Amino acid sequence: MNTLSRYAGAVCALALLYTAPAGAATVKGVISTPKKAGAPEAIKVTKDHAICGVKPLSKEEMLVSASGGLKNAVVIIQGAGKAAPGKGGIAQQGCRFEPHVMTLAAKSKLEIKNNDGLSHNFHSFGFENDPVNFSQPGEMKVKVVDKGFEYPEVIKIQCDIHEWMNAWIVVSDESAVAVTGADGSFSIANLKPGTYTAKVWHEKLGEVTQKLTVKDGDNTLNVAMSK
Amino acid sequence: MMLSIAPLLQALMALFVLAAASPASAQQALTPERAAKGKPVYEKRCAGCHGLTGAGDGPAADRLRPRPRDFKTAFYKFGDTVFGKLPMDTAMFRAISEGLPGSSMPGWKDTLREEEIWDVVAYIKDFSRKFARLKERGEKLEPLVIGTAPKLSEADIQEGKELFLKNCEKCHGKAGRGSGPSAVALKHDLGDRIWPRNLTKGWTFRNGNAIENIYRTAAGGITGTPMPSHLESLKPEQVWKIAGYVDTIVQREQPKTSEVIIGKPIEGAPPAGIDDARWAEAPAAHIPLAGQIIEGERWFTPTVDSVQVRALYDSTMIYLLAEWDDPSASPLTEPNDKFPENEPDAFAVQLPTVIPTGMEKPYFLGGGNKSPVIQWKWTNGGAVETLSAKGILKVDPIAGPAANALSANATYVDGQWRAMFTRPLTASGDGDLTIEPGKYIPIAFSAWDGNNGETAEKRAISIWYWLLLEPPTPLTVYLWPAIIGFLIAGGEVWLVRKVNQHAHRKE
Repeated sequence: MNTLSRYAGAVCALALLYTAPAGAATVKGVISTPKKAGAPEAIKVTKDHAICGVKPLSKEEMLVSASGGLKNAVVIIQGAGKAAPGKGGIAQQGCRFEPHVMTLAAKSKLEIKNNDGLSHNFHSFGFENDPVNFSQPGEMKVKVVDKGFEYPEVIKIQCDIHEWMNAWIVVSDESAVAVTGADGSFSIANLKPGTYTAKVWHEKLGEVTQKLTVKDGDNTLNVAMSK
Repeated sequence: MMLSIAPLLQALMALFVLAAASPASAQQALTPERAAKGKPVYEKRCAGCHGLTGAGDGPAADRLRPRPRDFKTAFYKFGDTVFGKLPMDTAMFRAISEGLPGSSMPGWKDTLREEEIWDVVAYIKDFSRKFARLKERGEKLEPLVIGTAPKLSEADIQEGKELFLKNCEKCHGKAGRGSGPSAVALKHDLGDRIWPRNLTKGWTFRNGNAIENIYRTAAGGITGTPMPSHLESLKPEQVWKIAGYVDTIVQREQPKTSEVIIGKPIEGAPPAGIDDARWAEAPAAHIPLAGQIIEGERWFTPTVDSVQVRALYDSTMIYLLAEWDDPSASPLTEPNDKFPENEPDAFAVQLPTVIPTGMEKPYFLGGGNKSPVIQWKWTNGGAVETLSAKGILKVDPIAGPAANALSANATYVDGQWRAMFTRPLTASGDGDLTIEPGKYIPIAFSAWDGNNGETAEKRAISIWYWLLLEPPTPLTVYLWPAIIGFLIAGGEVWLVRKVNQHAHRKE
């Protein structure tokens, strides 16, 4: 009985620490850029054409929709809650990383898939976090890394064998995070009303922070990024 | 039970590794007092390259390739741990004590006392908060377990080769010369271009070329570089097999530099080409090359570091075979976006216009106004030219019949160019050289790796060496010793007889 109650207490404490704030407010918006929309530049596939050349690849560093929406920007509302460590996932597929940009709660595990049946490597460029770089041959379809993503920072991922393959993992201990879709839109729900700092990051356009007052119901956060 | 044995085993293995790696430097306690004692030593001996704040940005840093270690990021290439992990103290001690071959990092064991080196290790660790954080978290570094090399059979080596081709070839190439398809697009984590090691040149290995060192690098990778660890995907015994295979292709000692290229006479048909069996008759001369840092744009990072040269000749022609390792045949058929430089590879043989009679030779860097030189230049996919030079950038195609006297052809296989030059011995006009057998003729070389952005003065160069076409040995050279030997033997027999006769008579 005693043990049970202690467990229950621990679970409650964890829940308090890590669950997203159960507020009713939502922040929605569009991250945009005045940079021109247009077909992204094609990637020169220089090796393993039989697998890497099946689908045409293009650069994903600046994806702008017709209305100026910016894809793959990361929105973090700071101070809204602690992120619970869990397991994230990324795949090496068709000689690109899927997704190209992702968020990951600090101290999470990362499951890395190789769906290509050929040799890749997974090379992370952390500074706060110890970088990892291991070879992932075709037979190694799944590899779970349990260290390397403990501290909040933006980490670049690279496959050195296929020089065009890169991705970004935004490690954060905040629970209120989102990655923008193709139209630049995002939505973060379950926020408590209050004043926060919103941070927006993009791999080419850098970082923008701004104050944000959240009220019950729907709130709007539109940020234009340029550099 | 298992749980309690594992750390014990690990500790034992760690002890073993440490003992194997550096017998003279057992771990010492690194206290704050030690770090304080290390500060003045660091500032006197290390800050010039590594910077006062340890950021690898000392006054000399910009001129060094590879750049000095940045202690703030705490990326240590040779830490005796797996990729990305902080280094073992003993590995740091070893790097300071022994230096890092092939880089500008000298060994300090003759300058600093062992105690002082440990003080510096303690001080350097304070530049990064990562070491302290590790302590706070109560974690210990796990050394990369090496142990001793297992006995490998022929079949193991063969399996090692297959594993090499599967896991290493993409960067290190089929023959291990660093010429794989991914070699031309690699970057160091801090941004500089980086090349996979040419595994046939063991003397260039930064962290030792014993089979245990090869295992360590293949197993753990090299932090801060594209070289990944392989213990996630391979079993230790498989990595040992790879190390065993690399052991069969590595040449550990750097070949001695040859002052003279000795050309051998041949009879009959001219060499059929690069693969003619008679090339084996000509001794291989090893000529080191270095970046051209004297005139124009200085070039510190050439990829071609040496050339092997052989010469043959007959009654009318000279044949020169040059072989050099280059990580790619440029221009690349599939250039990448990361390094778009894509000039053609090239190679030049440089000779004076007349054989010098005294000590004075033309300026080795392309001659000068008073004493020009000629250059035989081969360019991949381009012309074979005889050039007349009066300086490294004052180069013009030679005029007159000499322009067409030279021919050359080259092949590129697995990271190695082999180029054969053919030319008449006799000069084909004004400003050309007549090559006389039996005379010492100055000769120098230049190599350009186009994919490394090398053109014009950006290249690898040699100083002057000598070419000597060895005259065929006349029969009299063999006859005279025989005659003299015969006479001496005859004389001795006669003398012994005389002495014997004399003795007889006395009796």
